[in-house]
Amino acid sequence: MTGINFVTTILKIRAPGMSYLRMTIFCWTALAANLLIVAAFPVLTATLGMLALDRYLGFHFFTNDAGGNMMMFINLIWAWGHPEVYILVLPAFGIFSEVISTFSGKPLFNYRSMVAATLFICLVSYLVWLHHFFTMGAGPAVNTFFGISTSIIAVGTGVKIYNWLFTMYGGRVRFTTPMLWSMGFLVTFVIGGMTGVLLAVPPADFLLHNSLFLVAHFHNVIIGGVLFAAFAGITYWFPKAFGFKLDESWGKAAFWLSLLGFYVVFMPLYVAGLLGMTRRLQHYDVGAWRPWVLIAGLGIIIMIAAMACQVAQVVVSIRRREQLRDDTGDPWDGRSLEWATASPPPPFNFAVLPNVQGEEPYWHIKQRAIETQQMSAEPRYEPIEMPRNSPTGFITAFFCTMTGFALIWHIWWMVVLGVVAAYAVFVWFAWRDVTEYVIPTDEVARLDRARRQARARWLAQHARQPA
Amino acid sequence: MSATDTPFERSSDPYRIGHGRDWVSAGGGRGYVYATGHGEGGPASKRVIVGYGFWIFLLSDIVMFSAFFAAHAVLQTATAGGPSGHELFNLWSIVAQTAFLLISSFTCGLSAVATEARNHLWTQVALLVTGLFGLAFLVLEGRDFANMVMQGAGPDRSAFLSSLFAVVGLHGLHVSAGLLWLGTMMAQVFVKGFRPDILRRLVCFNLFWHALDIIWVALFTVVYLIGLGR
Repeated sequence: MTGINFVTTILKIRAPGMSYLRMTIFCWTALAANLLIVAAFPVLTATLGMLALDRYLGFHFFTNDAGGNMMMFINLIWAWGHPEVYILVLPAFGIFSEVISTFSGKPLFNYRSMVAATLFICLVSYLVWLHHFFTMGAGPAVNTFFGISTSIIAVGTGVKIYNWLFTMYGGRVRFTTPMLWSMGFLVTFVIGGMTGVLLAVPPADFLLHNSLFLVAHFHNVIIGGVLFAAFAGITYWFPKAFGFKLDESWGKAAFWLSLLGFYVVFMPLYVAGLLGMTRRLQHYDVGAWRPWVLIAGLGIIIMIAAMACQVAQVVVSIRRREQLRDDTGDPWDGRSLEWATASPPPPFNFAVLPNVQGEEPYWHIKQRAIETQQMSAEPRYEPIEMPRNSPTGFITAFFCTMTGFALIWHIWWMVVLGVVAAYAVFVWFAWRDVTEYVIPTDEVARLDRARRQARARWLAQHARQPA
Repeated sequence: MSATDTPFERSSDPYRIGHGRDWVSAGGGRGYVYATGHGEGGPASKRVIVGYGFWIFLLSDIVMFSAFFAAHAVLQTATAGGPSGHELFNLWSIVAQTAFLLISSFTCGLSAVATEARNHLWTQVALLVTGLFGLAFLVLEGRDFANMVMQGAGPDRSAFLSSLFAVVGLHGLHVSAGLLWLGTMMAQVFVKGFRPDILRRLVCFNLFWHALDIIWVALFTVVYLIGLGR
């Protein structure tokens, strides 16, 4: 559902002039990730359905007897599970693109190749699932195909890494917290990517399968990629959502401790994996592994300290929110259109839909305003239709959860109740007559004039300074 | 920059259904005249957005079916000493089911024609006939399933039968959900008339019902025709 929502919104509800190649990279990566959601999650649904039939009704999809096929479960799960990895990481790439471009003060290097690389990864992510179990014994031809397709994904990712490096090259880089997370990611992700290419070679994988080397590899890309991106994104867009910035010094402390802690935890695990240590051990008696495991344990303490800094960052920022307040709606000297709105944005985002005329429309509008020392003329405001809020989703989810709970514990009357109630709530939702409310012209004009005044003040203060 | 300086003025919906009627009641909300779908023209009309979103839902549904088809293809010969398709399938019942489903799709199309002409009576009649044929399809399919189970060829007999019951049953479940939806839509048309949002839902229902046919064509080929040869 989320996937369908995003894909349709991105493809069909764009502002005038917003052609595909004018969308921000974050939009592109969100589109690619959501296409993956639409195409991959039904496979998970089907697999879980089959598993449920096996367990509840005595079907034989994955059983050992009556012709069932256990490896089919592994295949189906990873046919969903591998695209899922890219569902995680593609938006992360988008966040880094926005952050690096903003804080380097330059447009993203080779935007078009970034778009192409994103779609390439989106497509090829479907052709690699078998690399999770080269040891299944599918034979050399199959393993070769999946080994090569897995290595090829690194090409798309490599293109992105170079684009980010060249965006920073020659730029005026500002070392803010989001930018630090992004730079930490660049280094960490390259290491994780290279160990990934090692694992993509089937003979090497036969040795390293299910070892701590593998564990270190996927934590390397997921922490260094997805988690760092989440922190970069939160710090970057926090002022847009809540109207005040997060405290920089606590943020930087959290970043440096995370980076250090990450390396102390996972680099020793690579070594332990190469020494033959497998994953999910409850007990081991190999002395050679011990020092590496102890070092990793030390790293975990550093990571916990980093998490404490994150919490402190939020608490301190909320207490100091008046000093950290973002009045203009553009705290980072941003380049894309979301920074044209107030922080936090009004429910309708844009009072008048912007007419997009280039790849970085907001940057150009801003530069023109600074040069000419005046804002664009006040637009003609119109009332705006907004969808009404509805609790349906929550209530339906409640009954679906109830159904799931009842299924697990075999409480059959509750299963029936949950399904019927969920459908009843859905029909009740479909029956309502008023689905939208209108924000009147006066209200739109009042909110937008306040935003324009803040902008005008900012413009006056920055009269002499070139941006 | 005012919206009125540009060629992208808000105007009537170019994708509306009906023939030159008042666009507010006929179509689907505001859209941009130049909304070609290539992005330059601004947001598309609601009718286009809803239809498009539903198409994507149908595609994802087809992906789910494809996982079941793949499982069936893997397990089609895994009869574990039990009966194969050749011994089990009742060809005439399957032909009848196919005919019922295809006729129901035809009447579903007729209901769309009646809706476009804003004819309440014929819309309801066509929807009712669609529902009856769908119900007949389900009855036949249920009878086949019951026969198989009574012969000791239930889904727990072999992996082949598990995947057969699952993939055919999933389609049957979709038809049942479609019937539930159809009933709800008939009630909504009766109570609320041809409001733009009801019209959009009818479009989605039509798409859904025809998609079930497409799945059935694949089922007929992969499960029954190929299965009969095994």
